[in-house]
Amino acid sequence: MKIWSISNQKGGVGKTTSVVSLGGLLADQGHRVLLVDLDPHGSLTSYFGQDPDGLERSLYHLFFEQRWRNVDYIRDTLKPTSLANVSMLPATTSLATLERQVSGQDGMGLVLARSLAQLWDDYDYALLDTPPILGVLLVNALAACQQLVIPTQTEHLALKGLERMVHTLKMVMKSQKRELPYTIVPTLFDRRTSASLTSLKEMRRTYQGALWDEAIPVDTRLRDASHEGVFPHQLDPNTRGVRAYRHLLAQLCGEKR
Amino acid sequence: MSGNTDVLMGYFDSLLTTLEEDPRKTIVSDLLAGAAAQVPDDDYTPVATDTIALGMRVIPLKPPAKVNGGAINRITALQLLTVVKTIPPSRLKLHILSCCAGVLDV
Ligand SMILES: Nc1ncnc2c1ncn2[C@@H]1O[C@H](COP(=O)(O)OP(=O)(O)O)[C@@H](O)[C@H]1O
Ligand SMILES: [Mg+2]
Repeated sequence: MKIWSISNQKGGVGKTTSVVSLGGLLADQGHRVLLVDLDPHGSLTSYFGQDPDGLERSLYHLFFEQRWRNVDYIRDTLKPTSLANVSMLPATTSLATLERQVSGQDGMGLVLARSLAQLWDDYDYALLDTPPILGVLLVNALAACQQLVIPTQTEHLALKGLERMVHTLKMVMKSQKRELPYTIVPTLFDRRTSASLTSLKEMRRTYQGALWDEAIPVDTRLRDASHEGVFPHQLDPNTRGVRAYRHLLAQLCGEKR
Repeated sequence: MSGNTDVLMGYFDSLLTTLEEDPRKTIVSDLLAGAAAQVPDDDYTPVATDTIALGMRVIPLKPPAKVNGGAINRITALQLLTVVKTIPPSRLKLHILSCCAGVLDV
């Protein structure tokens, strides 16, 4: 299984949209995909018609009674999406209380990594949708993934979130004594606005090596797909947003375009 | 490193290490055992506390056995609990809590 975390310590930058778009395209290539919702808001969970306030089981429950050891329990927690070869490990709002519940217990950053290890042969890819706050959930995602994708809105304020995210990543790598490659993905790009152009330039200057050399454009079809609860490529395989995500996927998979 | 980074590193270390893997736990546990063993058997005098590498002070859990030693042990453990309550979550905190639990036999 390949595990990618889609993270930024800022909200509204396109994390959930990227998880769904990339996950859908991987599934379209025939891969078995698991999407994991680590955000207590449960946007990804709601995207596929599940209620984060009503579900009986979620990622939250894996943190207790060593359920992360129990592969049957984990499999029973998964929910379907609009594609047969994509499943989802949903979030419930109770995730918001996790920080307090597990405080003082060591090793709680490794629960997701251990849970995914139980599903290792069930899926080819796991994509992790993370909350924008630094806490036990984000640490779980960083500890579990082999690659980090950082969607960053092309506007000035978003650069701060990016800087924080990279700082956090460096500390987690130090704590885990390993290297974690990351790719910065400019999102919500609108070439008609100077804010988009200036911030993109700024990102290039500071993060050349890690910055993807294209950008995800503003595309209302991506929003439409979330209203319909389907993967964007299911709604329109050739819309600008989907095409851009296809390029990004090729880059992340290490294929040269 | 800035103080902020120190705090965060402690946080990440604690989340990303399990107790079995942590060599510092053994060090603290040895120091605690050593300090407890050094308590003289006569009148109770507050034993000089050692500042150890972790920047934590070791407080002996085992004062003299005279004058109702068991009760004093428990009182010391309870005092320690009130102190440890005030420090942020960490492996050391957890360890001291479990030591106290041992003394209090809970
Ligand atoms: N490329 C895009 N074009 C248009 N709308 C987008 C795009 N990316 C995200 N959005 C919309 O922006 C909002 C925030 O995106 P989302 O993926 O939920 O961000 P995050 O998960 O980082 O909070 C959503 O309403 C989403 O539909
Ligand atoms: Mg989101």
